[in-house]
Amino acid sequence: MSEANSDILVRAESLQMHFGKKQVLKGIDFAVRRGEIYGFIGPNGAGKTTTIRILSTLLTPTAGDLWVDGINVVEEPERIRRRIGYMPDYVGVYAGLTVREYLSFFAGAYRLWGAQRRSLLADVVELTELGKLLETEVQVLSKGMRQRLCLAQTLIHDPQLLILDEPASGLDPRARIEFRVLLRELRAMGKTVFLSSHILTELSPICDSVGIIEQGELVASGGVQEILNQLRGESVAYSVTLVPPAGAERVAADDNTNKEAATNDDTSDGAGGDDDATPTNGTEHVANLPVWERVVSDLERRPDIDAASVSDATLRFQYSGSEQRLHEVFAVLTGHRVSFCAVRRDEEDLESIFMRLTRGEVS
Amino acid sequence: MRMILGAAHRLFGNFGWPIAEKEARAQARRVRYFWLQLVYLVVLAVAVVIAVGSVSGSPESLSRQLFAVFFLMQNGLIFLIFPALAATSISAERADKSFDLVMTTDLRPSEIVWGKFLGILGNCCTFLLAALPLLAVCILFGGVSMSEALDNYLLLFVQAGLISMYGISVSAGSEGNLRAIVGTYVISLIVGAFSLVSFEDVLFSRSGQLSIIDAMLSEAAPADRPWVFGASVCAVVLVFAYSFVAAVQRLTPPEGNRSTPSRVLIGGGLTILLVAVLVYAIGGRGTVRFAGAEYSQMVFAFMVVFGLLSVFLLPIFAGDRVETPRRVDLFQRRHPRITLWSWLLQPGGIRGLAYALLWVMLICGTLVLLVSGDTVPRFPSFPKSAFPTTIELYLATFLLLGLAGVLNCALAFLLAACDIRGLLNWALVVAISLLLNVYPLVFVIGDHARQFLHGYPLSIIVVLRKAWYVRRGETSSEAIALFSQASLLYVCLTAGVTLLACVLMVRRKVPIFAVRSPARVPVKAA
Repeated sequence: MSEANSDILVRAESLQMHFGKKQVLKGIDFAVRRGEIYGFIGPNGAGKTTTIRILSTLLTPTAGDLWVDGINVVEEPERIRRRIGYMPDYVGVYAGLTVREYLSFFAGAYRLWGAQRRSLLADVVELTELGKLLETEVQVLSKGMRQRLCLAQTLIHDPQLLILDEPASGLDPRARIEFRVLLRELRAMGKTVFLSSHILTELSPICDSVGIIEQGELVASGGVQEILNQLRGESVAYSVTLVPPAGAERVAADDNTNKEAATNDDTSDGAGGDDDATPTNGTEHVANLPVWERVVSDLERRPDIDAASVSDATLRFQYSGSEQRLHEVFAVLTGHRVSFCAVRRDEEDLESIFMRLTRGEVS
Repeated sequence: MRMILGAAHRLFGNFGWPIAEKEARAQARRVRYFWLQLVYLVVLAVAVVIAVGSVSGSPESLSRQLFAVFFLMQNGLIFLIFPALAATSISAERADKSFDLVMTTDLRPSEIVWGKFLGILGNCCTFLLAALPLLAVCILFGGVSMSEALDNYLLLFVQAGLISMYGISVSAGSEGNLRAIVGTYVISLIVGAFSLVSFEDVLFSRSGQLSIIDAMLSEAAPADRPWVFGASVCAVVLVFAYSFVAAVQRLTPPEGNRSTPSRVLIGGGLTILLVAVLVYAIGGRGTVRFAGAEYSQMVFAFMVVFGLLSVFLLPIFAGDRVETPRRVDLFQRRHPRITLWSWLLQPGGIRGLAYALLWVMLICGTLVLLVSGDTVPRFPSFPKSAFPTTIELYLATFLLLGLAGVLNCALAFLLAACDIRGLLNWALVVAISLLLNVYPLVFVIGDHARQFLHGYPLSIIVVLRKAWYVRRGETSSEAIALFSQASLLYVCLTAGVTLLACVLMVRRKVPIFAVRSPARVPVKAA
């Protein structure tokens, strides 16, 4: 595999893992580019941690291969370890050691000595802001500080690839934000980050690519936008906020008045003098304006509109035509003298992708 | 030279110094460490004080008895306290997931084990050294030489080293702390009881020797003392090395869904056999005469227990030893230069060696029995002078059990090749083994038991010694008949099992005999 100088840092091919007769990974393929943050997501029991442990050389796959920087994880795990920094989902620390001793221990374990060791230690402490805690015993650190300490430990030998298993789990909102900032800094420093998480809102803003795994199979992999495009095909969802006509507002107000009257007087028919009024509430009444229904009907007749609906004074439609001809769609609205005040292109987020692609079943 | 240095570096590396430093520091900062040391010293002091009050006689005799009490107490305490330091050394870190971090560093499993060992041994040594003032009290009245004190202290250090290493080994092989603690203490109980009983016998015997090493050696004839000493050192080194290898193998990431204890235990079984051969080599010279029936019985019991372990325990772990194509593939990819005879070494390292030894032993055992089968009928009787000594009979019994263990392993291989694994594999192997031994068992338990108890090993020894004697004796004929039947069964079974296992492996596309070119994974364009 001649990927040492290529854009790809991690490549998995047909990765399989059996535990006894149970197949946990069913031949997954993915690639992670240098300098990107790759989010690996999936429900519990999908195979995330197994993949991460294989990548960290803690497990050997039953079949298939995995390369990091062109080096096969199966064939040369010792060389891989110089290139990776692994942070498990739960960080256990050694009781009885101070932060400085803890980091020194790992520096020694990576065979760093002398000036190189001191220099890297200082850099890592500065990056993770652990300077004030160097003489503190590790077992008294808070969860957030332990995460930082563990991250510092993974960075101590200046690895190319950081493998983080659920790094944000159990952190308070502030610590999460700080951790996210730290990850961005690392990306800016040229590190590649492979991380798994359940908290998809955490991943969305920082991940360049994601892999979604379920039941040991990778159901999607690539850039977030790329996956979105794959999922929705050519169509794009739009939302148009409609402005109800002045009369409609009045009718809605009258309707509410009538409703109150109907409650006070059982003999009242509650009609209120308007054929379109229904004894529910003003919003529903507005949504059922015949003119908007006609707009929807006209839009649905167009070949470039996949679906259209109106509710809560909002018109939603799926448009598969070119952006240059989008104005024709809005011409339908203006043709019916329907006013609107906002147009929004709806973006699917990572959570909606995840929910669409997975069913939460374990492998 | 470069190869030797390379091998030494590979085995020892930096001796896991960061681990040793961390281990010693973290252990010494625990409250438990100081409490244990306090208990250790208080118990020793109380024992010495009680001994001072209860012993009478000349100052020299008082000193010698105090020394004996002090040493015995210390010997007992280290088997109670030191396992606690070693038992959770790895399992505890594994439980809180901090061990994964160490496993992804540059440290090799061998360095991790060395580091743990040095760290724990360092802490154990502080216990032993802390008791030195009490030792000074014991030898205050004279009568105890410095060499005796040093000899016994050396023995304590060796025991501390052994406890540390097998504690680490058990800890590395255990999934939880509780298992690790129970496992370590079970071993300590057995070894400690053995050690205490024999040392107590020596220290309070009428010989008056206080040095355990000297007292043990005095049991053998002067000419054999170097041999006995060498054999003892070898046994200690082998147990130590076995524990070390077991721990290292357990820490090596498993390949695929395979676990490593099996290879370790096969290695262990072979080690036991090697020890037996070593001891037999000494005993076979016919000049060693161990004094005392108790000692002799103890040796016999020890050998029978280990022999039975090899018969009934080894197959459990041999059952999943059939190589998968993936393992073979990995081996050939990791060692592309090794192509010839790679089927013997798959997938290399200690296990490959164990494999090779296993097959060699199977072949040699077959050859020996073929030769003996030819020799025995021609010389059906022999004189009383050709009869082996008691110790030789015991050792031969042990060897025979070891041989049965190897055969059982072969059976387990066969069943594993048929995908019969786990408990069923073991149950079938043991059942077949027992069925094959029904006749000898009935024979031994029957009326002739008293007369022919040692008939089985007797025949082997006579054959191996190639005793060309003609005088007929009643005692030998039935034994030889029995032996002939057993050897025939063994030969047939070994050949059959080997053949069947090979056929099945070949059918499973495991290239055990066909050496193929090193496999490479097809490269896809990035």
